Amino acid sequence: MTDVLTIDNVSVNFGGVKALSDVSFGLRPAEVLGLIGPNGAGKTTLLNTISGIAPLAGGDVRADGVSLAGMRPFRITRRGIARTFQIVRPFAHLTVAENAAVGATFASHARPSREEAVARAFEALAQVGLTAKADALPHQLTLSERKRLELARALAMKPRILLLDEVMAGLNLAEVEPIIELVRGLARSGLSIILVEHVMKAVMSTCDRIVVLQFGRKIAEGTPEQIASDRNVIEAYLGQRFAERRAREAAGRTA
Amino acid sequence: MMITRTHLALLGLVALTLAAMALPFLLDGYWLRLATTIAMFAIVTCGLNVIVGFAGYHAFGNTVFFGCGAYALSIAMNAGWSFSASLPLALLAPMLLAGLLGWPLLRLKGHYFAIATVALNLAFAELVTQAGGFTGGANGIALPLSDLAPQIAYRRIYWMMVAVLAVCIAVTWWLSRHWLGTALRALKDNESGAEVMGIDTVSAKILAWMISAAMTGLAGGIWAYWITFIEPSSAFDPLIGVKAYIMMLIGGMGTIAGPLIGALLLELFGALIWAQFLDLHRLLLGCLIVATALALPGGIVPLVRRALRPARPAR
Repeated sequence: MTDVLTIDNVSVNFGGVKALSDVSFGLRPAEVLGLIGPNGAGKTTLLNTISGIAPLAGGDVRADGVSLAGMRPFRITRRGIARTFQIVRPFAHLTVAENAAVGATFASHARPSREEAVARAFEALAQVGLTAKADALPHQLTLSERKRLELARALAMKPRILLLDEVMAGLNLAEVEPIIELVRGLARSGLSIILVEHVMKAVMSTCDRIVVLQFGRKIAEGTPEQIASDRNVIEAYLGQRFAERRAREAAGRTA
Repeated sequence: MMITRTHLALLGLVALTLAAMALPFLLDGYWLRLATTIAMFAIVTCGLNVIVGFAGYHAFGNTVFFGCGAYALSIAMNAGWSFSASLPLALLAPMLLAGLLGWPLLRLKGHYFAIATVALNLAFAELVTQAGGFTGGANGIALPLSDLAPQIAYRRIYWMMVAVLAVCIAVTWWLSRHWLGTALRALKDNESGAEVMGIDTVSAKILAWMISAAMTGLAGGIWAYWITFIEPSSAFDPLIGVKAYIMMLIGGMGTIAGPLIGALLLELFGALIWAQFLDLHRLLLGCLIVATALALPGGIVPLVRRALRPARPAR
């Protein structure tokens, strides 16, 4: 199966700091790919690079074989790549429905009519359960609602590829559950999703595959099961000593 | 067809325009001049409102388009063109200028952009002064006088200002419901966020400044024809932009009726009250800016809107 999105030896620099070095992986059609790693590993930077906000220092990002390098962010979005932001930034002076309608209006080259954009906005709000707050202003929403608005804005764009930056962070388990369901449903309907997340329960239960970053490098890639037992990953998260102990225990079991 | 709020708003605008058009039959010279000034400033404020109120780009030096429109018309008329043939130039020349300069200047953010526009205005005044020749340099340009009797000519100029103002208000209204208006409001709130939502922010900003420049330039063109003599210091007078700013703040930034209400209030106040305090005029103007910013940050229109429509309970 050909990848819908190819991250090809991507490097990003912030001044003298290498934020990402030679990261490569592919996003397959209709899969949920988890992107995890400790704080500062470069997860958000990678999403910023895909959506055209952070410039590439090396390598390439391709969507359906077309290079996105140097493309303005709005053009990348119009190729069907939508994203959410970890720090939610809705348009403060637009209502919830208007916020979602912006996504519906501008995310394609063929601009839909006002009515159609509004209809799509409400469809997206229904998907995330925000219909009742359509006329509210963003500052009147709770954190959970603002996270869902962020998701609705992206969904109203009718993307093919969805980049989710910690849409579940800061939410309680009851709030996380419906979002996990939604993300799974979206993938079933054909969307390809990159999920950056710290909530491990969400990552393990939602993702088909997982890529792990540390200090700007990819240290592991595989299914959730593979990742959970990957020595490099355990080391990155829990320290070298713990990883060694785990390895000894595992060796003891098989011996 | 159902009568919607849109129809009522349009009907209101037409009725208001017709009522304003009837004024010259009731007013004498001084009051007609005041009414013309109000309409002119309302146009300039409408222009400012598009780039500042909608897009959030503080074009302190928008006067440059006023002067540009005035000079475009004056130069064309002195070259033998008729007024009606010259007037489109007062719209096109500033629009072109905004389109060309918007590309580099609108990349600047916040106060950097504001300062750049102020510099642009000063630079243009200097350019026109130094150019001499067909611009008349520091001596200014006298325009060919109209053959009409003064009263008739002044009436026509007033009508023209009112007509242009009506069009500007209609354009602002159209903008408020058009995708361009949505794009501008979105990028005003969060420019990089807007870009990621698929908005071509650079083009949207440039379009907004071009519309702003066209409105401001038209006011400048009609103004030049009205006073029949322009010079760099009057056509590029920064105070024009400052006054428009206050009018916009008083009326309500980013609203449709705000510019008209602001211009009406400030000019009427000026005529009725400040005429009594000739020396303190500027001081009072300054105090009014501060008072408006402190007490009425959103302007009058949002205040009235809130008063008319009780706040929805936010559940």
